[in-house]
Amino acid sequence: MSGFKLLAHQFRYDQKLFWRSPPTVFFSVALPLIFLFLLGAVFGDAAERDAKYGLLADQYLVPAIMTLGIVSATFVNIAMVITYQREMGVLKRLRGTPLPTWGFVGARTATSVVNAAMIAVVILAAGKFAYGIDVTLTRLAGMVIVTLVGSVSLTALGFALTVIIPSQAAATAITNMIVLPLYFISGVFGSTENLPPALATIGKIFPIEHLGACMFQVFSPSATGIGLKAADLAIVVAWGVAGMLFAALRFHWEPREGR
Amino acid sequence: MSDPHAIEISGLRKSYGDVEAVRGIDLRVKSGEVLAILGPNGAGKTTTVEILEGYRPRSAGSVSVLGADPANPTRAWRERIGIVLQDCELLGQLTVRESLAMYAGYYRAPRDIDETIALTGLQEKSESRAGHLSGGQRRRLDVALALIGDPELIFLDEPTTGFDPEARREAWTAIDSMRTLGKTIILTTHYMEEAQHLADRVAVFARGRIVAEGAPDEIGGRAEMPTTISFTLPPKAAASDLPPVFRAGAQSDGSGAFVSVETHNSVETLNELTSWALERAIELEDLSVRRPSLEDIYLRLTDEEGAS
Repeated sequence: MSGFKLLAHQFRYDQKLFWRSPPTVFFSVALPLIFLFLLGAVFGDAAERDAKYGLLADQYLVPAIMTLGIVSATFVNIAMVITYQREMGVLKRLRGTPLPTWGFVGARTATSVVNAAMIAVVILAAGKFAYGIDVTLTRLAGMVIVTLVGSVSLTALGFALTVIIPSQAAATAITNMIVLPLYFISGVFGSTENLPPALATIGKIFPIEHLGACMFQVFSPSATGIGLKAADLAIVVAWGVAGMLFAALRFHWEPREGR
Repeated sequence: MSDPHAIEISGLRKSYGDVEAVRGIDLRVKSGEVLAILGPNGAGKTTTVEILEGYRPRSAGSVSVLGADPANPTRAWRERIGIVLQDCELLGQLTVRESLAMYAGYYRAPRDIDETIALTGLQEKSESRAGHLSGGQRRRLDVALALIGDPELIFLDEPTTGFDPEARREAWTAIDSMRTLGKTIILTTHYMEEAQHLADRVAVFARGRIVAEGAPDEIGGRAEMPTTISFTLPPKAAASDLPPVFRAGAQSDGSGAFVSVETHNSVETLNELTSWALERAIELEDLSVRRPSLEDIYLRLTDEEGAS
């Protein structure tokens, strides 16, 4: 089987597995939509614009939840599912077949990126119908780049996180412990203007803030061209590369208590 | 091309920190042979098998599996090996057929999916999700997944641990079908009955070493060991009246005597006993003639090792 065919083959089954797992679909697809509508109901009518990007509350919400959707479809999903499969011996069994590492990682990454893109589209569509948020075709190009680069980077970080998660029981706790506070201090649940500066600075260390910044820029009336924030995107990529290297060196295919 | 030995191991050792799990193993497995590795937990069975499967590096010794060193598993080598692991979940959301189709895609020349389903007796479950199968059916799917690449060599690590008797029979049927295909099979187990039923040859592991090796009927001098004849003597018959060979083996407990003797000449000894009983019209309750079971041998072998 050629490399591309093998990837396509594995991708097909990874997609089946994703869509047939109701909790995964709920957390990846339904939950971001729920956040979009709930936060929209609470804050959506506020008339002031945020200082950094000049976005109205509902205009801010759409890229914010797109960021959340991407993080959840990639980083969170990979960390939880791969840890589960490692602890249950699914990865060990795969390791005993001729499926090469690149085939496994490539197909998972593809699934993760495709899911993130799909969720971004769903949220964008929901934003258009619910709040009348529009994006020009030029900006759409920027959005595609941010979504792809962001989801690949966060997938790599998801693989890296599995190295740190010691057990199945710890997966949900550790992942949420990382992601939930970061959403708050990275501007996903509302602008960081009102945060204590120290927290905002901590947020800036991590990639979610910068992925969000890229998304906000795409929607910002003050941005030019395709609305790409190269510096922020570069930080996201740097995190992704670091995650990839860490995972490449330390990833394990079996539970730690391996015989 | 066809190597007479599928596996050759000499001086194999493996340590985890200060603990030596495998302490010098020499073993050869012929192509087409079914070898059972018996031994208590912690005897080094799984460690050894996982080294052969390419999962673990070894500390010392030389190992050749299908002519290659398993410490550096290549894709081509993996194509020739099938593995049934001990604790290993299936992908519950895929059907039996889909699971097999997914794994088939990893091999250049996989077996036919329907044929593999039939071989493992899963026809009626082919469209069921793996998550809805019974324990025995799951194990059969594990076996089917190990077979789908049409491997020459198959590893089965405790394939029926924790099974009820029916599920065990189901799994045995599936394993028997692999033998029919002429595969070399390495099976670890701690069920004697399983080794007896499935294996051509048994290697008994204890404390990281092989303490005995041979055909299930001959291992540990089993063929030369005495047969045990035992029965209960009714109260009306006196133990002192028994034929001489049996007198020593009688233990009186008041209501009758339980008699148990070991003999190398079971036909003659038994004849002597039954003639004696017929003459006196004595009913011999619970009369049994028992050859030492593989389990007896196993316990003796692993005990000896423990005592030394």
